[in-house]
Formats: sequence, C-alpha cells, structure tokens
Amino acid sequence: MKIFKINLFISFVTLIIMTNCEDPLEEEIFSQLAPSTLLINEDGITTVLNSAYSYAHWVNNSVARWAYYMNDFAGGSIWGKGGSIESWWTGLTEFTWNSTHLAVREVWPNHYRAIRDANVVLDNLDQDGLNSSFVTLTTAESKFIRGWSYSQLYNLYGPVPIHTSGSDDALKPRASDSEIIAQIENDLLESINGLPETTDFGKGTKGAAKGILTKHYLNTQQWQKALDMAKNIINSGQYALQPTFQDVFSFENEGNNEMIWALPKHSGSGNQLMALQSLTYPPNYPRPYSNNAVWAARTYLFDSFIDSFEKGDERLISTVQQWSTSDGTAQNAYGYDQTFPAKFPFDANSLAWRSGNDTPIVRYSDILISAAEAINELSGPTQEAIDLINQVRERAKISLLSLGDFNKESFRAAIIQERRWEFFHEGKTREYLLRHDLFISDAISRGKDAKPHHKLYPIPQSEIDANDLLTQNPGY
Amino acid sequence: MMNIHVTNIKIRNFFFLIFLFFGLCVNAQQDITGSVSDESGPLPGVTIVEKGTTNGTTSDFDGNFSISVSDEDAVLVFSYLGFITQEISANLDSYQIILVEGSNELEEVVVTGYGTVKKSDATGAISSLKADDLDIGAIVSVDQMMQGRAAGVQISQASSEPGGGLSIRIRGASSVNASNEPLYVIDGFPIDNSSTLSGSGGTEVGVGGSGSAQIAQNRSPRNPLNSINPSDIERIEILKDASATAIYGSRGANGVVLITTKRGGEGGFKVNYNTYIGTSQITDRVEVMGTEDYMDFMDEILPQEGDAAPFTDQSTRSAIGAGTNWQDQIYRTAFITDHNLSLTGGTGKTSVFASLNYFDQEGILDKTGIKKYIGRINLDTEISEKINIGFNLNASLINDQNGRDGLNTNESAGPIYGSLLYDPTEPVYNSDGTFARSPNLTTNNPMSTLEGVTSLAETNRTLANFYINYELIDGFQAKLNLGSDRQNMRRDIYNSRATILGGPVGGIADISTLLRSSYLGEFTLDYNKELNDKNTVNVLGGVTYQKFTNRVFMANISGMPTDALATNALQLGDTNNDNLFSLKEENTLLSYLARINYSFANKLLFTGSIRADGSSRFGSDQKYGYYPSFALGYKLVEESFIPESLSELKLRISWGQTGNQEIGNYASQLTFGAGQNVVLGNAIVGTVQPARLANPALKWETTTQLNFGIDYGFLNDRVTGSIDYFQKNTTDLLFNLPLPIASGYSSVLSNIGEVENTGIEFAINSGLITTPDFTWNISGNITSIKNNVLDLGRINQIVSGNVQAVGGTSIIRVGDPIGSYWGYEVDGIQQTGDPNPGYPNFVDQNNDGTINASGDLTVIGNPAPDFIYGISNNIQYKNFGLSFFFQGVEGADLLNINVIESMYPANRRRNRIAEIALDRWSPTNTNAQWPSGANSNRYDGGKVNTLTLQDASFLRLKNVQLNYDVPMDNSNVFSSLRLFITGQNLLTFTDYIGFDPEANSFGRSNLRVDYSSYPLASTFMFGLNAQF
Repeated sequence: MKIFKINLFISFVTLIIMTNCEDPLEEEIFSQLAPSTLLINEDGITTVLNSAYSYAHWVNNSVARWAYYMNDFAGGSIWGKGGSIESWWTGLTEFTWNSTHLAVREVWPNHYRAIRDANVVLDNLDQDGLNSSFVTLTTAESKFIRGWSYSQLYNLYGPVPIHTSGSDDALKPRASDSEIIAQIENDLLESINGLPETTDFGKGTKGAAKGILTKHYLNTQQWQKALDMAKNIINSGQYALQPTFQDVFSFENEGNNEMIWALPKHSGSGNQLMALQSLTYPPNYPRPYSNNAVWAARTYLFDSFIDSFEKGDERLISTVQQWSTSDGTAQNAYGYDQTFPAKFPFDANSLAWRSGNDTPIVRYSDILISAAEAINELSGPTQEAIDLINQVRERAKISLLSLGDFNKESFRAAIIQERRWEFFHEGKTREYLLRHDLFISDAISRGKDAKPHHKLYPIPQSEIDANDLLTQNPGY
Repeated sequence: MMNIHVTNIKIRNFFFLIFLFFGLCVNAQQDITGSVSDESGPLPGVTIVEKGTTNGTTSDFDGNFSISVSDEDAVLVFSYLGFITQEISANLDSYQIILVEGSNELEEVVVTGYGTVKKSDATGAISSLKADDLDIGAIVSVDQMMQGRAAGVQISQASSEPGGGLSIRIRGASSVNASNEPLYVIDGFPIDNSSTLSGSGGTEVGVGGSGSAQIAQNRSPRNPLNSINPSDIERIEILKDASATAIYGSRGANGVVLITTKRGGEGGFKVNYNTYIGTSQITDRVEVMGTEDYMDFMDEILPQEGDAAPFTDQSTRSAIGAGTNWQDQIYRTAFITDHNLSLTGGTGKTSVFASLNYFDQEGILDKTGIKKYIGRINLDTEISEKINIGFNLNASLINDQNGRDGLNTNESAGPIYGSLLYDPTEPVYNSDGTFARSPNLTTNNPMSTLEGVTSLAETNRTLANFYINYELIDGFQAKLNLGSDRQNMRRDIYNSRATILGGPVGGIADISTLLRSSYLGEFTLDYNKELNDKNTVNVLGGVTYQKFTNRVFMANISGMPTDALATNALQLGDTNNDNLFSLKEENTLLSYLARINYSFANKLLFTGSIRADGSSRFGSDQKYGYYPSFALGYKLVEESFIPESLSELKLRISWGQTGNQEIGNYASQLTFGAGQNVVLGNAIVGTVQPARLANPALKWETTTQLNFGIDYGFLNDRVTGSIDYFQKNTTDLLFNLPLPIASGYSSVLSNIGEVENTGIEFAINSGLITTPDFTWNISGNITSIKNNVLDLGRINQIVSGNVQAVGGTSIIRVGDPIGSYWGYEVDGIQQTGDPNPGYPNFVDQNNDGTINASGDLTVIGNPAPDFIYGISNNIQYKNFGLSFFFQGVEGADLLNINVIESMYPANRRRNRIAEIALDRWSPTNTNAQWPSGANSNRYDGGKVNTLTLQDASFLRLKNVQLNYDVPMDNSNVFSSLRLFITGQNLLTFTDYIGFDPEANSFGRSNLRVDYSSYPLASTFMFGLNAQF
C-alpha cells in the first residue's frame, strides 16, 4: 500500500516534468538566428553583407565623427571647444592622445567588424544552390568592403593583423608593411572585376574601388600606380565636377557623379548620423528648421585659413564668418578664429541632431588633384598636371595656375594648399600632410609637442591587453 | 518545543489538574488568579494570554494576575522578555508560576533549504532574522529589512529612489561577469530575481533592447522584491556557507535568502491593523555655488580661458537678482502612507493568514514615487492525519513613477544632474510660460526634464505555490511542491517637446513590456528517525524542475501630433521614425538533490549534501554540474569539561561547492542577431550580424568554500553570538575573456580565472539590562572581507566601467579586488613657478617625464569596504520602547562623476559644486585642495584621479523608533494597541561629497560609480498597530 503510494507520487512528478519537453535541457532559440538557418540562401547571406556595409558606412555616429576628426583636428585644419567632447578634441589638437583616447577606441572596432562580416560572407559562398552571378557580385562586394576597411586601418594604425576568414585564429600578430599593402591592393583589384559600373547608391562600384585604390597608392607613394588608376577613373567618363562647390554637398544633389565613394546617410530612424552640424553651431545659432538641434560643442576654422583664400573663392561661401543670434544680436566669428565650417547644410528632414548629409570620401576633384600630385612626384609639374588642378580652381572661380610659375617643390605646395581649400572639414588633412612628411613639422610649427611616432595612432590599449602577440606602435 | 521549567508545586498542581479534568464538570467561564515570579522575587509586567485568543492581561507590580478564561480546555501562555515562555493548562483556580531566565532561542528551528533544523543542531553558517524586529521605517522591499542586520551580508541601496534596486553581496563578490546577487526562495519557491525594466526603459534581459526615448540610461533596475509585502514576512534566513547553500547547487554560490511568510495558527482569529504616515526630505544636498558666487567665479575664470567676463556689468547683476536655486525647484517634502491589514488564525484543521497592503511613497524628487497594492493568502489544512496541503498566493500591483537621471551627460541627462550644474542666473520660465533655456548650455533646464519627461511603470506579479505533504510512515514524508511566478511589467516613457531632445523631433513615445514567468515542479522525500535517545538521522532526497521564460516587446516613435497624447496613441506618430524590438527566451533547470543530517550522542553533528544540477544555459557537453558539501558540528557545551558559565558552545566546520549559472541565455552558441541599419539605394535596410563566438565547452562556475564557525553563549544566554571565518574560491569563472576586436568579437564567455574572498564575521546579541521594568538589548555584527582576483588566464587586466566623457573607471586585474579604481595619483596643486600654476600635480609613476596612460595609471582605490557593521539597540521601559539602529561601512571608495563634472566641466558656463569651486587654487589661495578651475581640459593625467575619487566610508543612524503600548483591559475592543514614531536616515557621518556614499549608478554591478544618483531621504513617521 505504502509502496503503491510512493510510486503514485513519483509517477505524478515524472509526468509533470516529462510532459513539458522531450529533452528538458535543450536550449531553444527564439529571437536569434543560427548559422544553419541563416547562411543557407542568398537572402540570408545578403543580410550579413549589409551588416558589413553598415560598418563600411560608419553608421555609428561616433565612429563617423572620429574617423573625420582624427584627420582634421590632428592635422590642425579645425579646432573646437565646448561640451564633453572638448577634452577628447584637445587630445588630438595638442598631440597628447594615447592608447585609451576615444577616437582610437571607436574607429578600430568598427573597421574590424566590417571585415568580420565580409569574411563571414566570403566563408559561406562556397555552397550549392547559390546563383553564380550572385557569388561573383557578393565576393566582389565583400572584398571591396574588406579592402576599404583595411586601407583605413592601415592609414591610422599602420600594419595591423590581417584576418581573411572567420576561422582564422582570434589571436594574430601584426602583418608586415608589405603584406598589408598587398592585401589592400589585392582585395580592391579583385573587387573591381566583379563590381558593377553603377548600382544602388552606397554599394560598391568599380569606380569606388578604383577611387579608394588611387588613394591607397597615393598614400603608399606608389605614384605610377596612383596615376594610372586616377587616369582610369578620369577616362571612364563616368564622373564629373559639379557646377558649383555647394552643389556637391546639397541635399537636392545627393548621389551626384562627383561622389565616387561617399557614405550615404539618412535622418530616418535607427540610423545614426555623423551630426557634424550639431557639433559646429552654438545653441543660439538661428537654425533654418525647427527640427534641427545642436550639441554643446562647436567646430571652428582659423582666421589664417580664411585669410589664405583668394578673393572671390566660392568655396568661402561654405563658411560662416558673421552671423546673428536667434534674437538678432550680431556676432563676429571671423576675427576670433571662430569661423564655422558650413560645408554640410542643415537638413530639412533632420531629427534633432540626426541629419542626412552624406559623407564624402573620394570626390572627383580629389582624383583630379591626385593625378596632378602623382605626376608632380613622378616628373615634376607638367601642363597636364596644371590643367588637372585648374579644373578644380576654375569651379571655385579663382585664378588659374600656369606651368611656368612652378617647380616640383612649389607645385607640391600649391597642391597641398589646393587640398586645404577644397577639402576643409572633410577629414583629409592628416592624410595629405603625412604623405609629404609634413604632418609632424606642420604640428611643431603650430607649437604642438609632436613627435615622429605621432604619424601613427596607437593601437587601442584593450586590444593590446587582449592579445599578447600584438605589439604597440613605437613611442606609445 | 518550549523548555518548561516545572517546579514541585507545579507538578502537584498538574496531578490535581488531571484529577479535576476527569472528575469535575467545570463551568464554562472560569476566573483564574495567581502570581508570577522569578528566582529573585515577583515579576511584574509578564504577559499572560489565553492561547489562541486575544484575551490577555499582565501581572501587576507584585507579580499577581487575574484572568477569566472561556473554558477548562484553555491554555495560558506566560511570556516575558529574557525569560523562557511557559504554557499552562488553565483548569486550576490559582497558580504560582516561576519563570526561568533565558531565551527560547536554542530550541528554535532555523529554516534551511528544503527543510528545517533545530538551531542547536545547525551545522551551516546561517543568519536568522525575525521580521518583527526588522520592520521598522518605510520599508519597500524585503531586502531593505536585512540591511546591516546580518554578518557577512553587504546590502547597498544602489538607488535611493522609492522602490529602487539594491545590490546584495553575501560574503563578497565572487564572479566577474555572472550575477553576484543571491538566490531568493520564498516559502520554498526559488524566484527569479533578475533585473526588470529600468527607469529608462532598457532591459538587461537577453540581447539588446535598450530604451530609446533618449532619456538618460538608468542601470538601476527596479527591485523585483517590491512585490512582496514586508509585513507578511515571519522570518528570513540567510544561508552563507557551502554546507547551507550547496543544496541549491548552481544557484547557491552567491548565498541564498530564504523568506518565510506568516502562517495561520490555531483557535480563533486575530486581526492586525498597522498604519503609518510620514514625510521625507532630502538628507543632504550637494551644495553648489549660489548666484553671487557663480557670477564672481565666471568673471574670474572665463577671461583666463579667453572668453569675456559676463557679469561685470552691475545692471546685468541686478537684473538677475537672486537667480534660481535649482535644487529648491526639483526637491519637495514627500508623503508616505502605509496601511496593512492582516488576519491570522484558524478553525479546526485549517489555518489561514491573509493580508492586504497599501503603500504609497512619494519621492523627494518631484514626480517620482511608488504605489503598491499587495494581497496574500497562506492557507494550510490537514486533510487527514497523514496528508497536509497548503497554498500560498501573493498578488501585487505596483505603480512606479521614476526619475530620469542616469549615466548620460548633457542633453540626455535628467533633473538631478541638471540641478547640480544649471546656470543659477537663469530663470525657470520665460515670460511666455515656456521653460527658459540658457543659450550657453546644451543641458536641459532641470524643470523641463522634470515636467517634460515621464517614466511610468505598472507591474503585476503573482506568486503562487501549492504543496501536498504525505506521511508515508512515521517520520517519512513525501512532499510535492508546485509553484508559479508570473510578472507582467509595462513601462511608458514620454519625452515631450519641453526638452532639447524631445523638441526637434516632436516628442518621443516609448513603451516597453516584459512578461516573465517561471514555474516549478518539485518532489522531495524526507525521512526522520530517532535511532535512540541521542542519535537521530534525517535523510532528504528530491528532484526539482524549473523553467523560466522572458518575453519583451518595445516600441517607440517620435513626431507625435501633440504632447497631450503621451504614449496613448503611438500610431499617430511619424511612422518613418519608429523602432520595434521583441524577444523571447527560455531556460530550464533540472536538478536532483540529497542530504543527510546525523546527530551522534547529541554532541557530534554531521551534514552531507549533494545536488546534481542541469541547466540549459551551458554547452551541450556540460549541462550537468555536481555540488557536494560536508559539515561537522561539535556541541562542546554538552561536554562535562566545559564550564557552567558557557551556556552554548558549538564548533562548526564545513566544506562544499556551489555554482553560478546567471549568465543570460544562449551564451554558448553562435547566433546571429540584429545589426545596424544601413542606407542602400536611399532606403533604410536592416541587417543581421553574428552575436558572439560559440563556446560549446562553456560550463558552470564553481565556488569552493571552507567555513569555520563558533556559536557561543554566556550567562544563561544573556550573551549569544557566533564567529565565522570563511575562504571562498571561485574557479572556472564565467568570464568574458577579452578577444582582440581584430577577430571581429570583443570577448568570448569562457571558464577562466579565479577570485578569492576571505573574511571574518562576528555577531553578538546581548541582554545588557534585563530588569522587569527596564530591558536593554543590544546586538551587533561586523564583517571584514578581502576580495582578490587570483587568476585571469592569459589576460593581465581589463579596464571597464566606462562612463560617457570619462572613459574607463575600473580595473579587473590579478592581485587586486574586482573593480578597483584605475586612475592617476594627484600630489597637490601646482604652485606659482611650476609649469602650470593651479593645475593638479599628477604623479609620474614610471618617472618617464610625461604623464600618460601607459605607466602612470595605477590602482587608486577599492569600491569594496574594509569592513561593514551594524549595531541595533532595543530598550524597553514599562510600556515604552525605544530602538535605534546604526549601520556603517568603512574603507570603501566611490567615484562621483558629478565631482568629475565639476572639476572638468564640459561647458564653462556650468555651475560647480561649491566646495570644489570655492576652495580653488589661486595665487592668494595656494593651500587649496582643488585646482584653479581654468582650462581644465588641459590638465594632463585623467579625470579618474585621487582628487575626484571620494572616501565613501560612513556611519548612519538608519532607524530610530519610539513606541508606546497603550495599556488594555479585557473589555477593550483592542487586545493591544501600539503607537510609534519612527525616524529614518536621520544622521549620516561621512566625508563623501555627493548625495549618498552607498549609491551605485551601475546598479547591481561590482563596479561602482555615483552619477546623479537619487538622493537619500530622511523620513519621519507616525503610526499605530492595533490588534483585535
């Protein structure tokens, strides 16, 4: 009787437990996807490719800003104050950054996540059932994103570890200089073949890959390759200068054919924007749309930069030297080193600081100047080089250069000056100063405590902490 | 099990009683008289109650009493503090009672996992708290009651907001990345105590899903225990050593808190009504500069930074006048109301406890507060001699109105943050009635976030469990326990046009919901056998299954047509600007447990237990973990060589292993989740990205604990207590092993490393004075715990605790306590003649001539205290009672981000904490503690430094209560009536600059910072407790 009752009890409990599930400790996934359900068709693979694009586009607004500021603040072309960001800015302008600087920490992971997602896609293209044209295009897009990402990493941090597959060992040492240079070149060259001439704005194209590769050759002083690639772009006839400087950046003209590679932005929800305007103008600046908002910090151009322009240079229209507060008080910005860079207009569709200004990376004017720069480095100034520069000057409505006025050095200086005017507040300064070995000397002449090791940023400290095989850049 | 001292007189009376019982027909109503004394003479004030009724009296000055009882079956209960309670059958006319000193404590039972044990036979380190002693002051949740009361248990109110979360560390922090919170078991039902939706709408549940109403990120979760009525609690046991906790296996490593609620009794019903009302005010403000000081400061500092002095013009100053004291604006005198009605009793074989509670606490920050409605029924009935069943039901509704402060700065921050730095020369309102906004600041006018942002939550939680207990043979019990815990929480946040962020986007409406449930099926067999007079054995075995489910849904949208709709019509927002998130996850535990208790010769006690725990959360090959424990107790007091003066002496030693599985779900699998949106072809496209690396070998974290303890008692137990030493080593840490991000992943959850906690706990309880009219009982506890990271595998250190605009604040590295502060040492202020007069003088630790991160950062402090202590006093004089309770923490540091904001203001025009601004360095104030305040962005070193890090030691007078028992005669409607006044948080002694040295804006984390944390309130209450 007793035994019977015990058995009854135990059966009852067993019943309760067993009716619930066959294997009670099996972990069932509801809100995420497993590789076995995701990476088996074109749609699934494309969603991961799109994630790679999101990192390639610097979708995170902080990444986007710092990728810019690491060039322009350190390059000395802009400065700023206000807000909690000021101390980080100060670190860049004063050459006191270190391996825990926010910019150093933000940019590195973004580019490696783009590479991770590109590698996941590449790892999964070798399976039955995928259309071969899909495989060709997706391979090219993945390599385009990977090449673009490594080119930025190399530019900022020097030779970094190369991961080309998700199955690579997590801990890898640095690549050699030649290895990473070749990796970037190969990825981009391979992508050119598979990429289309035109496609949805924001995706990789032949032109975009060539543009990035031109800049890569230029930055690594492979002048002939740079010239060839720039000419390849120019001769494709696909790209042109916009009629005015302001047209390049206007909302009406998004995706124009001067933007060889630009990162598309949208004020819509879920998408973080670069928000450069929100860190440019003060709270009492009369913003054109009630939905615009600003943060606590301001970005300024120096008076000496304004003074350097030729009279009538239309590029000056994209600066604000005087303004009135919303209650009508006149303010002088020029005269206090506080001219606002106004290249990126306010967005009528902005959501507070979120605005849809696309981020230009490689513009056609850059390719023109790059070709001229490569010619000059190869052979000194030529009429061809002068004509290339003059295309850009003509649009800005300033005087044209003539060959007789220049030798190699002075033409190099003119090219750099042209870049200062053409690309102010576009995150380019450090790059072009570096390749002519002016980055450190220029900073020293501004009174900064710049040392040779500052040519490269340090690898983030957490990365060094996590990987014994990784060595820090010298000097940090 | 009452220890009744029977005198000779008593024995004779007893026989006489029996004679009467059989021989006489007794009148229904019976008058009884008698006297009560102790060894030295008459005892006045002894409480005499007819058992099971409200009928009672007290002995008079000569120890005499008289009472009428209902019938000859009545039992009289004689009780008096410091004496052993006696029960006497009331069928004599006259009695002489002699009470014996001592307490009933030794024969008390303590609740253990899946059972009870006589306190004298307990072999584990267990702190027992009787709730009657604890329910003092405005208590929102059970865990608050335990604060400072138990040795080895550090309870910190992470947020002083009404209903805010607490962080509990039982014997230190043993895990780096898994939870450090104890397991709560309410009436045998282990409940899910993981974090719920925080005040900012985010959730720690599962992957992703942070609130998106763009208000400051609040990491302090609402306290999940708010749904339990503290007045329903009979007792709390805190299981600390492995011998006590190993029976809970994989959930035992952080200690276990067993909560036992009140149950019905026999014979009639008692109704208890308890109420209080009170007011609260902010304890201490953080003083900031007043309007005059602010203007003087700006006129001095701004020119040093290249800006014009703004307030030099006298007419400007007179136009500003007194300015605005922002802290006056946002704080208020807040009201508290509590009503608690309960019914206890039973008829025949059924007993019941039922209660209703209404609790309404306003926060001292305007527009915050909590309202609770809780009902409970505990029912027990004896179906037959062998079968008992019982049913507990706790239903609750909680309405929260939360603050808007958190870990963000600038425009995302809330009113507390704003009140510490908003320009005092600005008015609250513009002339048109809208909120004024300084053109110089991108911080919200504090009143605009107070009025313009709402964060409301409603939580329903129902806990139900049912048991059936069947006695198979004598001493052999089978028990089936079924439980269900369902929580349903919804939070509505609306960020209106009044704020900097809500304005441009036309308001942001955000709704988050959390549905959380668990159910339990548990079967245990328990065999209790007295082998002979002295030897007893108890064997327990069982199987238990618990399944947990979380479901989350969140939605937000901006561009509402009007603020008036708040969150009530999301469909009217701009559907181009919305976000959706949903989540479902489940996890399961399937466990087998066994335990044996053996008592040999009533001297040697042995306990052994084992639990085999299976969890769905671990790798496919690692589902099961095995947790053994052993303990030995030696009741030395039973040995003849122990002097009589020792009334209790027991040695305890235990060893055991426990685990931790609180890592979230799916941590061992490679999965893909939502990535960032991307713009392709002018359309916004969603993406999918890998969430983590797989680790199929992921397994339990194991904590091995060794405990030595002594229970002692002197002078007939007038002094009792215990001393424990423990060593707790956690190995195979569930550790987010950092990976180089070059691999694509920042970390992988692994079993690596070791953390050690060693400590000493000391508890004492003493009846200092035990005269009849006057008693004074004092009890105290003190604990010292040393935490040390012993191993982190291939990793040397991890810098963590990131705060916006500050960066990493804390470090985890071998040789230091978890979460040590990682910063720069400051050696005074640079003086005239130094390179930068007025700047802090950072110490060049590696003497390389520069101050930088690689070599000059060092451990500058520790958030965990050297020791913690609590002292409580209960004084009774006739009908008056006075109790007061001190709680203290010594040797803890706390990083106050508001201090950092003051020393390194993100905007020059911000106000500063007065102490920092007014004691600033200047050529005439060279002995200043703080730097000059000019060009703080150019200070070298970093913001985490020995100037900004504060000593968070404190001693607090936590509670004072004065009560008066109104004398009652039999005819009164009340059987007892007590009036009381209570003061809470009346005094705090501390050097800390900030609202509360206990605060943690990281919520329950081992890492600690204080960032605009909710200020502590001082509360005065008046109340009464009536019994019918």
